[in-house]
Amino acid sequence: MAFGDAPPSITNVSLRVQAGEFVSLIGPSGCGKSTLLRLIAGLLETTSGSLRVSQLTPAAARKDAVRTAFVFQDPTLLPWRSVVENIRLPLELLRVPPDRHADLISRSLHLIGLRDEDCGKRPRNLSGGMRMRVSLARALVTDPQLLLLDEPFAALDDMLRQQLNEELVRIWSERGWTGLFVTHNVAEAVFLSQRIVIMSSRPGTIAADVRVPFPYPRTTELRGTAEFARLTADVSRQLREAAT
Amino acid sequence: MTPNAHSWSRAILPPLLLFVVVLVVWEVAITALRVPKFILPSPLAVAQAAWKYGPELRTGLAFTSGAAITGFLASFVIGTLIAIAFSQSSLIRSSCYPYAIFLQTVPIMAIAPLIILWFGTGFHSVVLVAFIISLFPIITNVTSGLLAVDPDLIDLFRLNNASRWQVLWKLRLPNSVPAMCIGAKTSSGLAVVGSIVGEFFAGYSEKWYGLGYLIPAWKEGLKQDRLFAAILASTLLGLAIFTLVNVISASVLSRWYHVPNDES
Repeated sequence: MAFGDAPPSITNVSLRVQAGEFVSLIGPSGCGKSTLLRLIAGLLETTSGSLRVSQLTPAAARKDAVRTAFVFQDPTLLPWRSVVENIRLPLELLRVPPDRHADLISRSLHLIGLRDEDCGKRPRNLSGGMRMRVSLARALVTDPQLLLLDEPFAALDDMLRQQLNEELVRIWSERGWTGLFVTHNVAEAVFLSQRIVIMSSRPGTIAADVRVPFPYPRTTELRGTAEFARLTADVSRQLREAAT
Repeated sequence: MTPNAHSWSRAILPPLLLFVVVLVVWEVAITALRVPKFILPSPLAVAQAAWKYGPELRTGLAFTSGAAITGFLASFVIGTLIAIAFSQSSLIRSSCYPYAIFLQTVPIMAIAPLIILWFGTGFHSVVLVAFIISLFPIITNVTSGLLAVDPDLIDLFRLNNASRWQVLWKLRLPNSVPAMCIGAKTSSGLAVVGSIVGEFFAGYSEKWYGLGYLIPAWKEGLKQDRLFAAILASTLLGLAIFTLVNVISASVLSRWYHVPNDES
């Protein structure tokens, strides 16, 4: 599969992701990680080759067969809507019957750990971390089968990022969606995923596919182990090679 | 003093004080330099004329403000509808936008007599002049507000299979509210100017008139004290309508981004 006119932004990409798998995509800036995610979401179309989500084109899969959610780098909340109203948005757009809204929103709030007193607040009154939680809650409210995350925690401080990583792993273990996570952070990719796909510099292609052997549930203690440090160093080395 | 009252007093007191200083200097200068009344009347003479011709000024104010507010509301509603059409199709936008600019560049003093010729004298023609002059800021501001949407938000709506109507109603229109407020502020002041220009050329009836009728009538008779009183009344009307729109905009915008009484 490829995307982009000459020169293409990604080329010769061949990748298969199993249902329920959590895969991270890492690579140098501009290698086409986010483009690949948008292609999978059906927001862009490939210029050659084929891409299938559950045997359908991504746009058709998203419309008819596979509940797909996307978490952007910025929280992309609607500033005129409260926390709850922002989380409700996908349900309104997908015309989910209103009598089911309260239940789905409450489950999503519970998963993300948002407090009741925050529900009525507007995005402007929330911290960066809280906004990202709301963005995650909005993505999870439709109970997606495919969750695409485009560097969602890049703008957060390290402590908050680690905390949200732990929560994301927990939620994935509970809900079992297929996850594709774009990041620049090798430790984050190692902590979260079952597989790490390393992309080369533009035009992006797949340089390496690394299996992460650590069992779930993964907790913060994992980060202190020698195996974690070894694998992070190894992936970092492969990333450096892919970038040159 | 509450913080709100404090900010209000800071906004109102300095210009009010400057106004009083200007009036005092003006009054003293007129008396000291013995400026003839038909060149420049003193503030006291203007105040006396305003008091004496209060009934005429009140009638003028009532009609001018009625025409200005009606013209402004019409431009707000129709300008928003035109902007919505512009936002839905680049073909409509590129075909019609040059004609929208025509509204901005046309000399209103030149076309106001034509409007009176075509549509006759009366309230509706004055409103039409106010409407034409105040329409462009609404079209241009609301169109930019409708189009300046974060592309990620458009993607979010596409990912959730949103219809064109949902994108307009739940994303583009709410997103354009701040731009709508800016357009309304500019447009409201222009509507007052438009109604006065319209009244220069058209009265409402034999019995009723606006400030735009009084100004040339009093100018012709070298009744400068009355003329100044009428100009002052027009200015105050513009200021009042602008302030009203400003207060409504501020209230709408604060509710837009903050829940009322949210202390955090």
